[in-house]
Amino acid sequence: MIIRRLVLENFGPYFGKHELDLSVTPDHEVVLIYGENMRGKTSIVNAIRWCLYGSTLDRYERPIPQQRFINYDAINVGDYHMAVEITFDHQDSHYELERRIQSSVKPTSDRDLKSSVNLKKDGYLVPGGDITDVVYDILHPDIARFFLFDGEMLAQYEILLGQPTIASQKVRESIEQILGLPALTKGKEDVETLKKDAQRRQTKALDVSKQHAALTAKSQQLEAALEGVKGDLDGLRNVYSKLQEERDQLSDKLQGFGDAEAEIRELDTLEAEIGKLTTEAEEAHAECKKLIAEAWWIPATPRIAARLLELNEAIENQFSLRLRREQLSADITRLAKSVPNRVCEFCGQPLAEAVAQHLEERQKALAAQLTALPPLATDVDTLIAERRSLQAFAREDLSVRLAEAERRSVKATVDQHKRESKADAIRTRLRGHDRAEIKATQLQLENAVRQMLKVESDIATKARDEADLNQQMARLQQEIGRLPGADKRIAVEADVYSALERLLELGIDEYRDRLRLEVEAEATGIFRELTTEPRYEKLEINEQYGLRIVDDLGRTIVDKSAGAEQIVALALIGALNRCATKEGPIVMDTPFGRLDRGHREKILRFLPTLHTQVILLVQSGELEPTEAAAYLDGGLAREYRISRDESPTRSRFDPVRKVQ
Amino acid sequence: MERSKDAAKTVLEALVPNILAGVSNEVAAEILKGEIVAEVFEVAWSCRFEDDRRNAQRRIRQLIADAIKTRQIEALP
Repeated sequence: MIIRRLVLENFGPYFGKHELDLSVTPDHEVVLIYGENMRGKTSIVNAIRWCLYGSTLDRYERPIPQQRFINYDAINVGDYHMAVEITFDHQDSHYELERRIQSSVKPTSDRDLKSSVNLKKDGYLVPGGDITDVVYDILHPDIARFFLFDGEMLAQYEILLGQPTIASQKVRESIEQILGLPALTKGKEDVETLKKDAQRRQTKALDVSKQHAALTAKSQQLEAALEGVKGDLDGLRNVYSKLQEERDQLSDKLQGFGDAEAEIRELDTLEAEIGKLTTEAEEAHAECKKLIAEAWWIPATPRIAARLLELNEAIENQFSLRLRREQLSADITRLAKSVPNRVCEFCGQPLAEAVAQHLEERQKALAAQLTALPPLATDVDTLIAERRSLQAFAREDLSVRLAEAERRSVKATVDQHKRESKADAIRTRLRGHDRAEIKATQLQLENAVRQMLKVESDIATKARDEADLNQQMARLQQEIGRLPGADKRIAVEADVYSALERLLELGIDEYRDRLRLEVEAEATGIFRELTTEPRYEKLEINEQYGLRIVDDLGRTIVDKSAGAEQIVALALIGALNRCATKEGPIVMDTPFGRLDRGHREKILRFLPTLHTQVILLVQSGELEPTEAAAYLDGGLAREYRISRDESPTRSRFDPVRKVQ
Repeated sequence: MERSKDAAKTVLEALVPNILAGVSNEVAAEILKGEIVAEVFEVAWSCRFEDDRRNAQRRIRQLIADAIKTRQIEALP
């Protein structure tokens, strides 16, 4: 599908008739529409969606009343009509789709509106009853989120990385929808229904012989058991849908509280953190007190260390002096034996006179050195005793522990104060709100979601029971089919259905696994093209199609930036479009919100390869016009700017550039 | 042809031999060896968005009935 032209009449901020030529060529695939905030970018996406499906959704995927889209100025001048026309090409045919609503009185709700829709295919009108089928066949609303999407909502794909929840299940279902998995799941359900029908007919056609009767009775028992399980399943599904309703009502109610709801959640988190920090601070403080009681001397540690150094030096000096004295005394004593007798003390030989004189002089010199040495201190033992007693206080570990405990105490106290200030600010803003009611609603919602998960698990268990009973029934029917008298034709029919059911069942698992690998490979290729971080090696897919970044050392990146999240989401959308069952124009609203210049450049260079038509709705804060032209590298087909007339509810399109 | 449609069809066709091993009825096995899997897949694919399951079931039932009729006539002496 390629959109050629979009005409808006009194739609959103567009008063009167406004036309956008969105034609692209194979070499110029991108249409760029600039518009500052509140000028009507999102209205373009809404107009396309409304024209295709007759309804449009808000960011919580709830329908928006149509009457809200009629231009205020038009209503003020008594013009109560609104229309959108899309001209597009699809598979060699040309289509013109026009949707219109009008009212004879000033509309206050959708009940006041009369709507009409016309579709022409290759110049011929399509019958009214077939329009929805034709449009759905071209681009079904269940997969539209991957073609018409809001860049601000890309973060929703992050939920696919957490534990399965109702919200992640919805996204996963949409992904499987675009990849065509329902063709197999619904096909299996259809074949299963047909198989049961054939089995019932087969049972009825049996002769009432003894054997037949026994098998028939068994078959009836199994059928009754199956009905029972089916009844249970229906009951559980009813409970589930009631819980869904309850969840939706509670969600709506919470949304009605506006920012207060999110603030209460934040306040709860802050209060929990404050409690934890208070305990941490108290524990650290208690540890400090205990350490100070054990080690009251810690403040004197530097002086103790200095005194210990002095003592060590003094004791060392005394030991050296004593050793020197002993050595000199020993040498003098040895010479005193040799010199007076003029005989060598070692061999007993007489000494030559010159040698004897030399030894005598040596003896005198040593005696002089001994006399020159300072006297030994009398209190060395006292010094050693003092050192021993001070060493008991030189335990650095206690002072380190004390410093660490003090640091923790201070940090916890500071963090606690910061959070308390934040909490106080929130409490001030929450004045006038019934916090108890909001909290009660939050709890009810959490409870409803918990119950839904429980019921979901019960449904899965019952579904397994049903599958077991079905298998038993199939075996029994084969047995019945082999009995004489049974209708061979019905037996063949039942066998074919059973085999087809099994085939589709195996096919679903196999296809799902294959899709996952395919999406992972495509997303990795796109991601590597888009990321500016060379360490990021690949994306890894999980059971829910959530994608994690893996770096070149094989580590999963857990704390990724908001920009990286957006790149991963874009890679997922790109991969889904490449693997998709359908091709449609990609219309992206505010896609660069959280991205830096490097990523913007890479995305712009990549976009023309994504699809044959890409319509970008951007504001100047996220993309400079010069950047766009440079990086799109010739891929730009057209460029518009949304300007505002004299009234804030009157926007218009100004063509800026037409490249093709 | 759409890429995912190709992939799904290939998966199903590759699984047919595994399934045939469990089919003891000769006529049923003969039918499954033919084009029936591709035809049923086409119906399932074209009805994947439809809420009206009866339409899909009616078309599949007709396909199987025609296949049985053809095989049984061929099986006659």
